[in-house]
Amino acid sequence: MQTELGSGVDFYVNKAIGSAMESPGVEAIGAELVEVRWHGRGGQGAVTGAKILARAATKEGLWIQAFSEFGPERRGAPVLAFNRIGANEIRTYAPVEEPDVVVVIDPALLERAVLRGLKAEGWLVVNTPFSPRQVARNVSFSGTVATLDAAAVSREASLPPLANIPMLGALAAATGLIQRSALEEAVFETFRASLGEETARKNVRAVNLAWSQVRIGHYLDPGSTEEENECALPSWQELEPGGTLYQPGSARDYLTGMWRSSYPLFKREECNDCLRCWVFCPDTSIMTNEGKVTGIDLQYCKGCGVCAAVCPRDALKMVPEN
Amino acid sequence: MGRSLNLKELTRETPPLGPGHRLCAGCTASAIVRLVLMAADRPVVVVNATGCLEVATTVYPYTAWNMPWMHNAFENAAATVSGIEAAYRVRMRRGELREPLYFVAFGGDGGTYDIGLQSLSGALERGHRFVYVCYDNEAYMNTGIQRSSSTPLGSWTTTTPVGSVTVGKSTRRKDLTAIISAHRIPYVAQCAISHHMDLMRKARKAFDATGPAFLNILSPCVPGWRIEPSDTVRVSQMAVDTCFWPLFECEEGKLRVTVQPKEKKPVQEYFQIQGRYRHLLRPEHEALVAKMQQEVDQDWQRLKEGRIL
Amino acid sequence: MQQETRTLTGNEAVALATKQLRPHVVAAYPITPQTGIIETFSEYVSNGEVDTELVLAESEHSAMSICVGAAAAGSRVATATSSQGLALMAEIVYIAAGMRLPMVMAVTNRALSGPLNIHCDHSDSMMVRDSGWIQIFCRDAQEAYDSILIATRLSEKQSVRLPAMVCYDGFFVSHNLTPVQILTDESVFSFVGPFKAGVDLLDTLHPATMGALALQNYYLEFKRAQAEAMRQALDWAPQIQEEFRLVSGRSYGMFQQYRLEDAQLVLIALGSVSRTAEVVVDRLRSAGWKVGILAPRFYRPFPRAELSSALVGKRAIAVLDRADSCGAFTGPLGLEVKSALFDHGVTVPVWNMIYGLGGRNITEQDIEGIFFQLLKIVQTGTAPPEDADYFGVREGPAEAGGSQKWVEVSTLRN
Repeated sequence: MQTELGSGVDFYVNKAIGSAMESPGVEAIGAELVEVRWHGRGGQGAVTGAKILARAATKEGLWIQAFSEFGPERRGAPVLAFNRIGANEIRTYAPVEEPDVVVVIDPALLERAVLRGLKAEGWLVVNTPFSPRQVARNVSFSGTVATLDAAAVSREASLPPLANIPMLGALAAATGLIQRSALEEAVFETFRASLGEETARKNVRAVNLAWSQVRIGHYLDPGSTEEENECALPSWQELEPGGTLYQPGSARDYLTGMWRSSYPLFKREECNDCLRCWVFCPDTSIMTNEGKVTGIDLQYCKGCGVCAAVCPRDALKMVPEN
Repeated sequence: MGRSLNLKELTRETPPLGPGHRLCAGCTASAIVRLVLMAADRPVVVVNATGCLEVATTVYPYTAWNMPWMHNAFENAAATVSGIEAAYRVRMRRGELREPLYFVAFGGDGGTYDIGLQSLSGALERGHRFVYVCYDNEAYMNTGIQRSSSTPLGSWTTTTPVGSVTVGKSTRRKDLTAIISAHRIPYVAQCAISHHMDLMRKARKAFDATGPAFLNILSPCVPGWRIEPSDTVRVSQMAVDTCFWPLFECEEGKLRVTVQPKEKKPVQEYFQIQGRYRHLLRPEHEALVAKMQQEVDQDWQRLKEGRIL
Repeated sequence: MQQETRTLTGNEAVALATKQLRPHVVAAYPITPQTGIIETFSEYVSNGEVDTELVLAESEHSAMSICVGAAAAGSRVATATSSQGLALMAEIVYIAAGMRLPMVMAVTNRALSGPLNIHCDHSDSMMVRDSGWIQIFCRDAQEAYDSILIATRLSEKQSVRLPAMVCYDGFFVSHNLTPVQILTDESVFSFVGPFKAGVDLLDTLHPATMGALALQNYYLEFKRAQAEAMRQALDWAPQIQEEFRLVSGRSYGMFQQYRLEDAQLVLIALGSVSRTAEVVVDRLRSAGWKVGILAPRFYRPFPRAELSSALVGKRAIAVLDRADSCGAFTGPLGLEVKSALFDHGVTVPVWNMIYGLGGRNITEQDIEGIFFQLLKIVQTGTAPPEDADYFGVREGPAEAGGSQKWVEVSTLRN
C-alpha cells in the first residue's frame, strides 16, 4: 500500500488504514454500517465482486447484503452493485443512496456522476493507472481516493483482464473493511468452485498484488463542489396517458459509446463500400454518404468488433480505447 | 415492383431501428430487425413481444424505433398484431384510412416456440395479413439464458447446466418452422443473419404474401452462446455451412432450399466455436455428437427432397 | 324519445347494444354463460347488420390482446367474457387499463373454478377489481343494455380513457328473457358519438411507441395518473348518466336506491338480488317496516362519499357479497362499505354475508329473514359478528367441527 503526499492539498493517512491489519471490519472505518456502491459494466464482474466481498465479511462475523440494480441494459452497459456491511443485523431493504465507498471498476465510467450521494468523508476507489490526486482533480472530489491499475495486476497474476478481483483487493486494503485473510479465503473458495484450484490461486495472488499496489490520497479542495445538475423528471400530470411516446428514434439521446473498450479504426483507402459493416453493425454506427462508408459514429458504437470481423478487406481494425 | 433491395440505396433511408438502444454489444437482433423492415415497400407497424429486443429498445422516455411500434405482453404478439390488422381492415373499409400498411410482429424463441405458440397459431389460422418474425437465439436470453423449446440438444443453458449427472439439454429442439408450415400459410422461411441478402429477399416475399407469413431467423447471442461479440456473423455462417440451421422457404406449400453450402461441414466445427457446446468436444460425448450429426444429416436430406417433415 | 320494447335475454340485449355502438373490432372467445352475446353478434355480422371486424380468437387471453391491439390502432372495441375467461385474460386486462385504452367488456358473472361451476357469482369481476377498469354492476337486462352505452361514453371520455366492464349475473340475467326498452340506432349513436381515438398506432406520419418499459423512475407516475383517471370517471359518470336520462328517460346514479331515504334497515347488494329484495322491501314496508335497498352500480370507481352520506342515520346494514375475499373474513363489497363508512365517520352496525356462490339460490324469504335479523340487531343492541357469515351454507354439528352460527335465518322467518 502506498500513500501519496499531496502538495498544495491537505493530506492524511486515514487512521483506519493504520489499523486495518490488526483490527478488521466495520469498526475499522468507525461506522456502524458501511455502504458500498460498485460501478462496472455488464460482464465485468461488479456483481461478483460485491458477492465475494459479502462472503468475506460473513467470514468475519459481520452482517452483509450484496445486491445489484437490474435494468434493461445488456452486456457492456453500465451496471451498479451494492454492499451493506454492518456489525448488527441490517434491516434496510432499499437502494444505497449515500454510499460510504464508491468503487469504479471500469476506468471509462469515471466521471462526476459516479460521486452521486458519496459521503464527504467517503472513499472513492478507482481502477486507473492514474494517481489518486489526478483522479480527485479529474472528478472534482474532495475526499479520500484510492487507485489501482487493475490491468497491470491481472497481467502480473496471469489472469484475463477482469478488474473485479484486483479492485476488491484495493477496496479492502484501502478502507480496512475486510481482513486480507478473509478476503483471500472468500476469493479462493469462490473460484475453486467455479473454475478450479489453479484459477483460484491466481485470483488470490491478484488480491495480494492489489493490496500492495493500491495508492491512497486524501484531498480537500474547496473549489471542487459543483452544483449537481440533474434534470428534473416530469410530474405525473405531465406524462402522456399510458406512456405513449411520440418522438421516434429518441433513443439517439442515449449515448452508448461509453460501453466501448475498443473502437474500429476505419481506413477509407482500403474500403470497397461493400457495406457489410453497415449491414451487420448492431448500433447503426457505420456512417455513409451516397452509399459510401465515411466513418464510425463513436457516440453509439459499443465496440463489438462485428464490422471489423465482417470486413473483407483491411478497412476496419479494432484498437483499444486510449 | 416495390423498392429495390440495393444496399447502397437503402443507406440513404432512416433506419427503422435507430441507435441508442441497449442491446448487448454485438447483438444480432437489431440487424435482423433492420434487414426485415428495410425489405418492406410500404410503411410498417411493428408489434414486439416482451424480450431483449423490446426492453432494450424502449426504455421510457426513449424509443429507438422510427416507425409505429407496440409492445403488449410476452405471449401475445401475434394476437396483438391480429387486433391491429383487424382495426386496419375495418378502418380502411370505412374510409378512415387510405394508406396501405404492412404489419410485423417480432418475438424471440421463448415468445414464439413456447409461451406465444398458441397465440401465433390462432393468428395464422385466422388468416390475418402480417409477417411474424421469430429472432431465434435458442434460449430465454432476456431472463438470463434459460432453456426454451428451441434450445438444441446438448446445449448448455443456466437451467440445463453441464453437471456430473446431466450434460446440457437432454431433448431435441422443437421444429417450429415445420409446425408453422402445417398451418398452410402462404409463406414460411428459415433465415440466418449471416445470409443477409437471402434474408431480405425472404422478408420481401413475406410482405408480398397474400396471407400470414413467418420467418424463423437464427440470431446468435453473445452471452447466451458464450461467443465473442465480433463472432456472431461467423457463428451464424457456420450454422448454415454445417446445415445445423438450413436455409429454406416454403412458398404456397412448395419447399425449396435457398442456400446450399459449398461444402457441408461437420457439426463439430459449429460446436467448437461456441462456449455453450464446448463440453461436447470431450471424448465421452462422442456418441451424442454422432447422434446430432445424424439428425442434422437426416433433416438436410429431407429438405433437399422437398419435404419439411 | 322513440323507443321500442323487445323481449330479450340479458345477453341479447348486450349484443344489441354492442351492435348499436358500431364498434370497429369485436374479439371474443366462447364461454358459458357469455356465449349468447357472441352468437347473436355473429349473426349481425353474418347478415351485414354491422360492419365490425369480428375476430374469433383461440382464447380469451388472445381476445383481450386483440382488443388491446385494435384499441391502440384507433378503434372502438368491445368484447365479452365470463369466469375462467376473465381469469385467463387477467394479465392483459391490467395492460389495457395501464395503456389507457378505452373499450367495453360485458362480464357475464360466473363462479371461478375450482371446483368447476358455471353458475352465477361475482368472483370473476372481483378478481380484477384492482386492474384499473371501470366496473358497473347491473341488476337486470335493461340496465345491462343501458350500461353498455353509458360505459362506452365514459370509457372514451378523453380525461378518463379507461376500459370499462359491464357486469351482470350469469343465467339470472344473461339467460332470462324480459322486456327491454331499446333506443333507435340514431339516438344511440348520437349519445355515444363517433369514436375519437386518443392514440392511433396506424398514424404513420406520427409514429407512436406504445407499451415502453417504465422503470423505477416512471412507473409510479403512470400509476398515479391512472388513479386520477378513475377519479375523473367518478366525476363524469353522473353527467353522462344524466345525458343518458335525457335520451332514454331512464335515470341512473352511482348506486341505485330503493325506498332508502327514510329506511332504518338497509340491504346493500350488487346485481340481480337487489331487484328480488325490492319485492321484500315492498312487503315489509306495507307491514310498517322502514326498510330499503342500496345497490352499488359503480363498483369502480366506488362512490365512497356519496354512499356513506346516504347511510348516515341508518340503524343497521346488511351487506350481501356474492364473492369472498378469502382471508379478509369479509367479502369485497363488505370491505368497501365498511372502509367508506369508517372514513366518513358513519357508525352503523354492518353485517356482512357471503351468499349465492356458484349460483346458490337466494329467495325472497331468505331476504326477509335478513331484514328480521337486522331488526334484531337494532332491538337487542347486539353487534353483528366481525367476520362475514356464509349465508345458507350447510353447517355440521359442533362436534364435527361446525361452528355455532350467529344467526339461523330460517328460524327467523316465522
